[in-house]
Order: sequence, then structure tokens, then C-alpha cells
Amino acid sequence: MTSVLIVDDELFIVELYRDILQLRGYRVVGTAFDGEEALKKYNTISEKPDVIIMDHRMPIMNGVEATKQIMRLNPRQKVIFVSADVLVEKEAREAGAIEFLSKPFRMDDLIEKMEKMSVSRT
Amino acid sequence: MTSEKESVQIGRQFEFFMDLLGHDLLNSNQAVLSYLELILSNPGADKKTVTMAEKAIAHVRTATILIENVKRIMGTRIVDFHELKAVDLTSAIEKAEADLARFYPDRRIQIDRETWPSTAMVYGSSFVTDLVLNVLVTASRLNPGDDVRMKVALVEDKQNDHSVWVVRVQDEDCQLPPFLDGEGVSATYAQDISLAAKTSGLLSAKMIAANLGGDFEAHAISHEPKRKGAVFTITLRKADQP
Repeated sequence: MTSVLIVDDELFIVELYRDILQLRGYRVVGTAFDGEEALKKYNTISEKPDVIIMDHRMPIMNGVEATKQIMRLNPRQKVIFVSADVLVEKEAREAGAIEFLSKPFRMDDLIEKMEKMSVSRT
Repeated sequence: MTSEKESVQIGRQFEFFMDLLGHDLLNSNQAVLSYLELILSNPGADKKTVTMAEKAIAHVRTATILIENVKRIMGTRIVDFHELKAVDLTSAIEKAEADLARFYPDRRIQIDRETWPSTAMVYGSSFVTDLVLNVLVTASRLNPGDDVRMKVALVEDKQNDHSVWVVRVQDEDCQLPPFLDGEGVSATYAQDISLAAKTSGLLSAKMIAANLGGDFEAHAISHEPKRKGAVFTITLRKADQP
């Protein structure tokens, strides 16, 4: 079962992703509300997530910076960047994100990208 | 009196807050869209519920493009023409066509390409896709049928000593309101805000095109005995290099 870490500063968005991903059979191993918290969680959780869903515009540390730091810890970590800021896509990909979705997106699109990643993982 | 420096600062603050508001609205749209998707994926949902959810999705998509329009107009307003990057108009149109289907999940929309070069470089950065999408979405909205069929042509031209690419979108069943026909796209907006709200995608197209050094116009195909069909024309400055 694919495991996921959700990073977004909006509680209702975190709950939304968690509810839908769990319904679709994914295992949410953690949530974080800013980049710094995401980094801390990533360091402390014993089982690293297969996929991180990363927002960009967050307090303390943004998604691009958090992605860069996580990629330094684990260059093979898969990050799906999701943001309402379409202009940040290039930066996100340069930081290490392998997929980018512009909000609002269809959850089916997110699931499709996650399934593609699960296939490439095996 | 506000000094020029203060005016610039106020302008920047305004852009910042507009951007923040737009961001939060898009987050809310994400939640609404996703919960509607959940309703649609429920095997127990009856046909009427599915139809209503599909219509709601279309409205969320429209709300999204309106928010994006505000951001784009703000963005193009502050961008100097010389800073604009060259983009391939054919790719921008293809992307807009793909996005269009998401706005109207309950309708069948077919786009036939007529004159179609392999590439058509124009100045416009990432704003060009939004410009085309605005026109396609509004044209679809002005077509009362469930089946929408549009013809899209892309031709090279010369206007006022400038080489340009012209996108021509034609829909035989589109019902263009009289106030939008011809030169009226921008003039009418200044007169009646209630009319402007109904078809703001075309105003956005006009403003974005103008900010990119181009133009946008809409014309009815026939006026008698009844106004029927419309042609939407986007003109953008040709760029030589990618």
C-alpha cells in the first residue's frame, strides 16, 4: 500500500487529501502544516513515505525550500508538488519535484500520478 | 497628495493582497471540486444528483478561470512587453483545448482545426494559454446546445507593420449578445457592469491581448433574420525566436 506524507498549511486541504486518499486505499503516514514541520516529520518518521504531496505557499518554510532539503536527505524521494501558484512549477521541478499539479485539480489526476509512481517503484 | 513613490507602493500592496485572495479562493475551489468528485464517484448517486454535481463542477471551473483572470490581468499589467518570452501558439491552443473539456464535463465539445501550421511563435509567456482558454470557455458558454462544435484556424498576417499570428475561433451556433459584436467588447463594459459580469471572459481576453501587444475581437456571423454564430479573433505579435 502506497504511503503518503501530506504537507499543506490549510487544515481543510490536509483533511480533504487525507479523506480521499484513505478512501482510495492509500496510507497517510503523516501530515505537516509548513515546510519546516514537514522536514522534522520526515526526519523522525521511521518509515519514509513513498510519496510526499507538497504545497508551496506556507508559513516558516515554503514548499520549494522544503523539497530541496528533503531531496538532500533522500535524492530518491518522490514529491508531487501541488500549488495554486502556476508560475512556481519550474522552481518546484528544479528543487526535485517529479510532478506538478495546479490547484484546483481533479483528485483523479493526483491518483493517476500516484499510481504511475507506484508502478515505477516496483 | 499621494506621491508617485507612494502610488507605486500602494499598487504593489494591492497586487499582493489580490494575489493572496486569489490563492485562498483557489484553495476553496479545490475543496469544493474534490468533494463534488466524491459525489460523482459514489455508485449510489442517482442520475439527477450526478447531473447537478457535473453542473456544479462546471461552475467551480468557471470561478477558477475568473480568479485566474484577475491574477493574469494583474500580471500582464506589470510586465513590460520586452520582458515577454516567445511561446508556441499551437501548443498554447492545444493545452487550452484540453483544459476546455474540464469546464463542461456534461457537454460534448468538438474542436476542428482548419489552417494549422507546425509552429507559431508569439510574444506572450504563459499568458497565452489563458487568453485562448478564456475565449473557448466564453464561446462555449454562449452556445446554448449540449453539443458544441468549433472551428479553429491559425494564420499569419501583417498589421500596422507588425507580423502577427491570428487565431480565428468560429462557432456557427454561438449566440453573441449584440453589445459584444464588433468593436463593442471593451466599450460596452464601460457602460454596463451587469453585462460585463456575464461575459467577463471576453473582457479578460481583450485586456490580456492588449497587454501582450495584440488584440481581440468578436463578431456575429449573421445578423438577419436572427443573430447567429460568432467568430472570435485573437491577434498576437509574431516572435522569431523561441
